[in-house]
Amino acid sequence: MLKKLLVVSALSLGVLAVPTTSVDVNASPQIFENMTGSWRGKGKVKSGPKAKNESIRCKLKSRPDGSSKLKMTGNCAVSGFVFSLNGFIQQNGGKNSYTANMFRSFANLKQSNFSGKRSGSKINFSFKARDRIGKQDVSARITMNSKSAKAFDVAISRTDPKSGKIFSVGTIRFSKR
Amino acid sequence: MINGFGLHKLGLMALRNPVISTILLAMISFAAIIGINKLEFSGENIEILRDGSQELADYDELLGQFRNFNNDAVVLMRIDNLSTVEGIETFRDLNFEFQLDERVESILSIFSLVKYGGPDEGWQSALPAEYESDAEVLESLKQLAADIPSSQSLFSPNFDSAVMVVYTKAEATKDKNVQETMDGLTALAKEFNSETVNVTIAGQPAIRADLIHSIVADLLLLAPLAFLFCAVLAFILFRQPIAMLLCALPSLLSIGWFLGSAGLTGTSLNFLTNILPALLIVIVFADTLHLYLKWQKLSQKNEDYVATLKQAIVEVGPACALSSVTTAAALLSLCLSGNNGLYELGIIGAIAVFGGFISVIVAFPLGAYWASKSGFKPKKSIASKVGIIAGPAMKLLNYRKSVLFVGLLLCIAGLYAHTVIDSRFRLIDYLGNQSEVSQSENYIDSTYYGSTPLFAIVDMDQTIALDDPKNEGRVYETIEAVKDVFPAGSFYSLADFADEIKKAGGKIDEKLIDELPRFLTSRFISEDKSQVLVTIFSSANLSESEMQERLANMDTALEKRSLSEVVKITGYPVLSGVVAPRLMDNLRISLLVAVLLSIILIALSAGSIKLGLACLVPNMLPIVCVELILYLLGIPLNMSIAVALTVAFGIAVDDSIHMLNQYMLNRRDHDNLPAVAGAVKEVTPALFSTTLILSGGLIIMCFSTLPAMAVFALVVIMTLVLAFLADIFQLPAYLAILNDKRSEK
Repeated sequence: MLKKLLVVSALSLGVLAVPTTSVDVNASPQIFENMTGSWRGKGKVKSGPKAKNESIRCKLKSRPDGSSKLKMTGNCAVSGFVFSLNGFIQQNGGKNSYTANMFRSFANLKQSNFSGKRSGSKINFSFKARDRIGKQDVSARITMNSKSAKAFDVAISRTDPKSGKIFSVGTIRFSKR
Repeated sequence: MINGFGLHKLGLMALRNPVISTILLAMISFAAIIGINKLEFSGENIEILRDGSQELADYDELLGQFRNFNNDAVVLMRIDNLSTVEGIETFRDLNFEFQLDERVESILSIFSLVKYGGPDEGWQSALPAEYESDAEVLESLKQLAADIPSSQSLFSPNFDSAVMVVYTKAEATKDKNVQETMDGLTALAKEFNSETVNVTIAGQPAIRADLIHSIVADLLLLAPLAFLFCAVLAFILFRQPIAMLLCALPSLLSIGWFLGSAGLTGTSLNFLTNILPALLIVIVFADTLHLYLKWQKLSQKNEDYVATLKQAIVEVGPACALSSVTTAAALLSLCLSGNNGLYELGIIGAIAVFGGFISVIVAFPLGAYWASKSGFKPKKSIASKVGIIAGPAMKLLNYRKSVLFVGLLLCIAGLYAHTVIDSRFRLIDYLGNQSEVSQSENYIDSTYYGSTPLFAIVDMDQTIALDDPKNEGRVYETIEAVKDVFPAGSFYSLADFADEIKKAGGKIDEKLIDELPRFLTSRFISEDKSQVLVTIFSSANLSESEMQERLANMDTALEKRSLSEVVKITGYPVLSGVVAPRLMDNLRISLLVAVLLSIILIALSAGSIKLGLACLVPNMLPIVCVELILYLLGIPLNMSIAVALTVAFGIAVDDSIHMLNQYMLNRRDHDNLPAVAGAVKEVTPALFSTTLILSGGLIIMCFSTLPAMAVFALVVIMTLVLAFLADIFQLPAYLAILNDKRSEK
């Protein structure tokens, strides 16, 4: 059970990001509108390239805070462990760049916020975090794909501290409640 | 005449200034209404057991060093077949729903168990993330039971149920929030209920919420019903609506004052103090009836109703005062139990009884004063017709020695029962009859090892490292001792994880533990790492002998391994199996103290040791006879019965006081035997009426969803009826015999 946490903390590096998407520079309000509401997420994630999949479930509520910011509250659960998703995603001055901070404490992020860029209906967030187990820096990437007003996916990938290679942590599919 | 310590003069003072007194009464009652709105309820059942003993100190150490295990709920899912894809996935969904609830900190279930998969796979859930076939589910559950024996305490061997321990957040289970929290979690559980699935919640938070629910239900429904029933009986006896209202007014006011004071002082009503409203109805109604019947009788000869009212206060008021003092003394004797809950009940109860007396001696006369000023005339009631019952009692005075002998025999038999009757404390006895929590607790106790854990706290040698072989050895030796007494799979500890880590060539050390969140490690090791916990699933509903046997075996197993000095066994089962029975033994002592105290008070008040002694056997008889009945029926003494007996004694003695008071009044003008006979004739209708009305009111309380309340009411009714019989048959015999010499003079 204790060690499971270690797994989970690794997993969490990915799960953290549950955020938004957009298509063009001015598309954020539409994406944020799509994102507003109560969501349930379900999927499978893993801690290492050769680790087995773990079930993950999330609950998320998001509401707009102005036209370019989305506030989020919720949490995800993996096995016996729960972590918070509370935070925000913000479009930076109408540009194609975003800032988020939703899972800072849990993810052991080295920076207070992290940034992302939109590409089509997806926003890709990249950040550096400190692996709780190996105490090594890892690179992680979270891709949010806003599929419709009723669904979006969050795909997570990160580097394996041992090999340095990127592997897919997993995908969480969110649907509106 | 009985000396009521001058307290009856309060009534006379009120009648001297009726307007000011009425305004004052109205203001107090208005303040009480404000207080009632602030009234809070508590489902606390551990503080009530607190008695300053070593067992409580060990339990406090557990909660302080590790975590508050009293916040842990147990969710039970009963299902046709857990070993199918549908069954296991339903349970997985249920797990996630609870995990994601904002009131929950974490959970322990088959889905939170982990295994080490080697360097490449690392740590992962013991169960797969998904299943493809029923056969795969069955195989994985069997494998889980083999790999992690403690998992057997989380699902049933025949796969028809599974449990998860839900660690709720401390804030969510505070008294003011626990009911809302449990309602929310129960609603969550109900979403999973179907024809094949039934989800219920047990454990301490559920028990506390259930207790609060029942306390509130009793207060809102049964207490008013009992009150109305008493009022209706009073109407049948008096045939005058105003008379009924006059008799009901003090009861109503005293309950309002009690609840209002509790609200204003922030005193929560718990499952013990919950008896006080019913108790107030009983004793206040009784004293009011005595006062009313005397006023009514005096008013038949004198139409100056205010004057007769004053005379009634002078004649009956002292007896009412003394009966309140003896009831308060009986309640205060509960403080001798040395137990927090009973100390609180004793003090609050005594204050409430005093408030009740004030309402009788002040509110009734004021009510009667304004009623008579408005033209009300107390008519002769049918209560006086029941004087016929006094006939046999008066005839038996001719056989007083035989009556006395029979009473003594019964008393000896009852005293024997008092000393040999078993005692038991089961938490589920305090839950509602139809309570899902109670049913779930029973199911978990019978199917698993129980929902309430026992803990072995192992002291670590802090002069060496936590992972030093000596410290490690202590933990493993303790586990061996636990295995000697408890079944395999019924316990878990840090050793389970250490074993898994060892498989991979690693080991648990302080550094690794520091990296994990405290909410997780607090189940296994103290924050300063000076103590390690072995958690053993057990029940809070074992009998005293069962629990004592297990603890004795555990002591032997620890002693055999020279661990007695470094391992403590604690947990709620120890409190319910050891502390609570000891508490009930103390209650038996406090009952005897209450008897002695009341006899002394009566002797002081009557100014005669002989008259005090005359009341001894007639007042002990109802109590010991109830114990004799319980003993013969094989019903063990529980806390409710023990408290009820003490409180009932305080009430039962009231009848003796009124009989004695009338006897002393009669002695002014008559010889002893005619004075006794006259007292029997005069008081029997009032005693019969009060016993009838009070028993009637208490019968309503027997329908309480709280078994403790129902038992309390039943025991009090039995005691009241027996007290009535003892007071009209036994007490006159004693008065006639003990005072024979005075009669001859």
